Amino acid sequence: MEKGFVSLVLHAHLPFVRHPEHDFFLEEHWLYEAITETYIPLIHMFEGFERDNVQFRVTMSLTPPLISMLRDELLQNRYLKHIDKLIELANKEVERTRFQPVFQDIALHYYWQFTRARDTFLNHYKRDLVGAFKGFQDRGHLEIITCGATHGFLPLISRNESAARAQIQTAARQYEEIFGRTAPGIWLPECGYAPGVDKYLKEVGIKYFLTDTHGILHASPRPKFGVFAPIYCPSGVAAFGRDLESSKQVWSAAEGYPGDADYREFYRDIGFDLDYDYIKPYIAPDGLRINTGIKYYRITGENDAKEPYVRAWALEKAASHAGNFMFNREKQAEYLYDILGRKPLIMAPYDAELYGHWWYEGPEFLNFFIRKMAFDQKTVRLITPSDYLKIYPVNQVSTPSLSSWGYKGYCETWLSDSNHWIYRHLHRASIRMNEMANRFKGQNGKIERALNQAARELFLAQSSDWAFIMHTGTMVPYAEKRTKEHILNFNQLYEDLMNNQLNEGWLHQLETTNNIFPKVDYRVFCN
Amino acid sequence: MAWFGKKEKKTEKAENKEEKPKKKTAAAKKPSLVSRITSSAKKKVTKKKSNLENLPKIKKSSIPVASETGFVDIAKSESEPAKFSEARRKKQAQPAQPEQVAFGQENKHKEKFWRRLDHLPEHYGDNFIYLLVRDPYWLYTYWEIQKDHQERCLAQIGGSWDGVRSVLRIYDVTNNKGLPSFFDIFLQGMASNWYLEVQPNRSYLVEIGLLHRDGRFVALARSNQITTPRAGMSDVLDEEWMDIDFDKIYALSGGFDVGKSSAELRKLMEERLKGAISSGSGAGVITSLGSPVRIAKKRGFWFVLDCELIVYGATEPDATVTLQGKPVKLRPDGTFTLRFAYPDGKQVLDAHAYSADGVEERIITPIVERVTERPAPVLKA
Repeated sequence: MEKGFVSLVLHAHLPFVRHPEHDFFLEEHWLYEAITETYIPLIHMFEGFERDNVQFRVTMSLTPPLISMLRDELLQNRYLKHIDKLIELANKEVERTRFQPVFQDIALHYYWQFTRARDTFLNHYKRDLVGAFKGFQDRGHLEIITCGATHGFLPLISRNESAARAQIQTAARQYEEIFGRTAPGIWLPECGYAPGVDKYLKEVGIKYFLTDTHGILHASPRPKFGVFAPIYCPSGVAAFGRDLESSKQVWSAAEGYPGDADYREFYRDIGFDLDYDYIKPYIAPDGLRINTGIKYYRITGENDAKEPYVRAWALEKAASHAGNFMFNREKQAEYLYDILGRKPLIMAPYDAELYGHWWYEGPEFLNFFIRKMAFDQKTVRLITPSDYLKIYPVNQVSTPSLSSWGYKGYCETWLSDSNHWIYRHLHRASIRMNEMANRFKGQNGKIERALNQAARELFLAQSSDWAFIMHTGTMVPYAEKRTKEHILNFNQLYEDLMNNQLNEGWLHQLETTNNIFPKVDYRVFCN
Repeated sequence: MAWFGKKEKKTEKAENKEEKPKKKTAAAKKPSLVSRITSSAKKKVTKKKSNLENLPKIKKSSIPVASETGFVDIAKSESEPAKFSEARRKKQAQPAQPEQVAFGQENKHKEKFWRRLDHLPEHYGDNFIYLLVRDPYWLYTYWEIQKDHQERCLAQIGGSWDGVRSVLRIYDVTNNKGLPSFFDIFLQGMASNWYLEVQPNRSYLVEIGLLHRDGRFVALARSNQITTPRAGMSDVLDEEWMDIDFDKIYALSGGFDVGKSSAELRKLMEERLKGAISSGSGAGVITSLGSPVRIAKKRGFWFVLDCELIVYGATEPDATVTLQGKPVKLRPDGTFTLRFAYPDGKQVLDAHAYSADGVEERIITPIVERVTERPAPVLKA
């Protein structure tokens, strides 16, 4: 029998970015890159496990905006165009590197990766990647959890109750509609928990959420098992805390695996490195150089001189890191088992996009790790949080502490000089939304459509991503524009509704552009 | 939140050079008024706190400051330098348009998206103050007070600004019994929000109001009540769930060395949370993780050069062409172009063209050699 459990949770999220008014929009590439580099490689990995009969239990959050984008026809078509372009470029690269076999090997690798991604996307899953993940869940391997409707940071947006409740309810409904069951758990946006948030989870039947380490460690009363067992909030919803030791091994810039010299260097992309005239058809139409996804170098060392990437070495390294990671979990579980007197749960949550996009070999690392877990040892077992609650249904009752997994552990990332101006507007909008929902409840036709669109605009403005971007200082104008745009749209809808002067043409335009949650129901904002 | 730490490579390079000084100026410049006031307020508070009981008499010298106490576009806006409120209006209307880093043309392709730039309202015509928790030690508050409301309240204490200051009064309401203790922060400039330094695991609410030097206080608005999170482990024990050394569990959970005392652990956790590598979120880590290798250049200068070789030609459109034995794709007019990265060394580029009728073969064989010399950099004093 095993001595403990490991729970791997991958948080797949991107903010809703969709600009039908433009043929090319740089920020849409976040999605395209994530599809090619993270989501499809994960799908390939899961397919491989099923093919080879590898027992695995993995948890993934697919956030509602990501699901909305993956299911959107316009973005699906654009992804195809994008990957076709990349294949064309990879093809040229194979020819261009003919005199440099080392580089040509890498070019061939990309050519193969891109064509395979296209095939998986188009032929195998008929553009429906959400359906692909659903398949793994339906067959009992993957546990898919939800998130806030638009990744709104709950500790800061909840001036009134309906703000947080609407985020949760809307997410839960989308989940039920798409996955045909109740969401078992939730990744609270940014792991942002404030006491009381669990009440909204309970309302929709969600059984558990994740917090950062100190959310559990500073819970009251003291949690007997630390982060190695969940606690029940007084509402009965379970809270699982992140294990720091396993996190550090992957996340830490200094000690983490992804910084290894043999892994691929993110910042050397041919979009910047190659001759302008040659690369021009594959960068922004206005000539701005951007990342293409083709990168030829490995991290190499501390200075600028980079050596070419050798795929075989990188895979070798990923395998040995996976072995090391597993070994440490075994030791950790054995040690904790003796102290706790029950099997510890080691919770290891990560951003999914870390694997593949940032850490190019990340999916291979996971692949090796999960296979090794299944075949090479018996000390620890991969399970999902739901599995754990079935094995250990009795847990201590305690209230987690306000916490997030952001810088400094609380709310500062989303509440600082760079972004605090958004809250007076977000709060006002959610108060107004509540007011409108109560006042116009029962109306249909144009008014109902306007209320639903107002709900969409509010949701989109609430994305924690915008505040995050303002805080980090990259792509700031876009985040500010998005925040303002949605608040202005909301305010206009509010005034139009209150003055009974809705402009249907404009409303229609909003409905087709900001079309997240086609079935959104403004009544989630009612009292 | 992994995605956005990403910087385009050249941008990264450009930024690296200036990162430190730039950040500082940005912090000082950006939300200018408020942030500067906030930081100066921090110091003031701690001083004032001690002699709360006998509110300090406003000295003559501080009256000019008092005359700037107005907030939400009111009070002494006549005496306020015009550029102040103007600057603020601009700032609010277009919150901190940050400087574009590298590649100024980044947004060229976005005209449609960027076309409309209406302004967010500066206020919503309400009177309120709202309180948010930022972390165990800091609260954030913002408010809206309309001029007529403020005038009415001012009337209650005499109707004159003489000797009256705008204050935030922060009440510690942790214990329900008796009158709550409080401290005041004197507002300055055109502030409409403030960061408040407080203590962990305590409950607060705040009033914004007018304070007369004779001690009379009239509240303009009262906030919601909030509780700050505790900064360490709870003191509350649960008898049913004990019997394990919690310090040890705490250390193991946090990845700290076992054997530390509660106090040490608390300090370590606080340092961890305050430090750059706090949690795993993108917020703290991902930007650096994205490029695990930090480029530590002594000087910003750099130079790269590479060679490519273009081979082009033409033949009958229906002919077959090979280069080094590999087929070459012809355009409909029979021309072709090949482009190769060209490393050091010698290449024999034997090109063959075969006529469509299979009768004729033509051969052209350029031989090219690249030799690159890289003398040491010349550094002039």
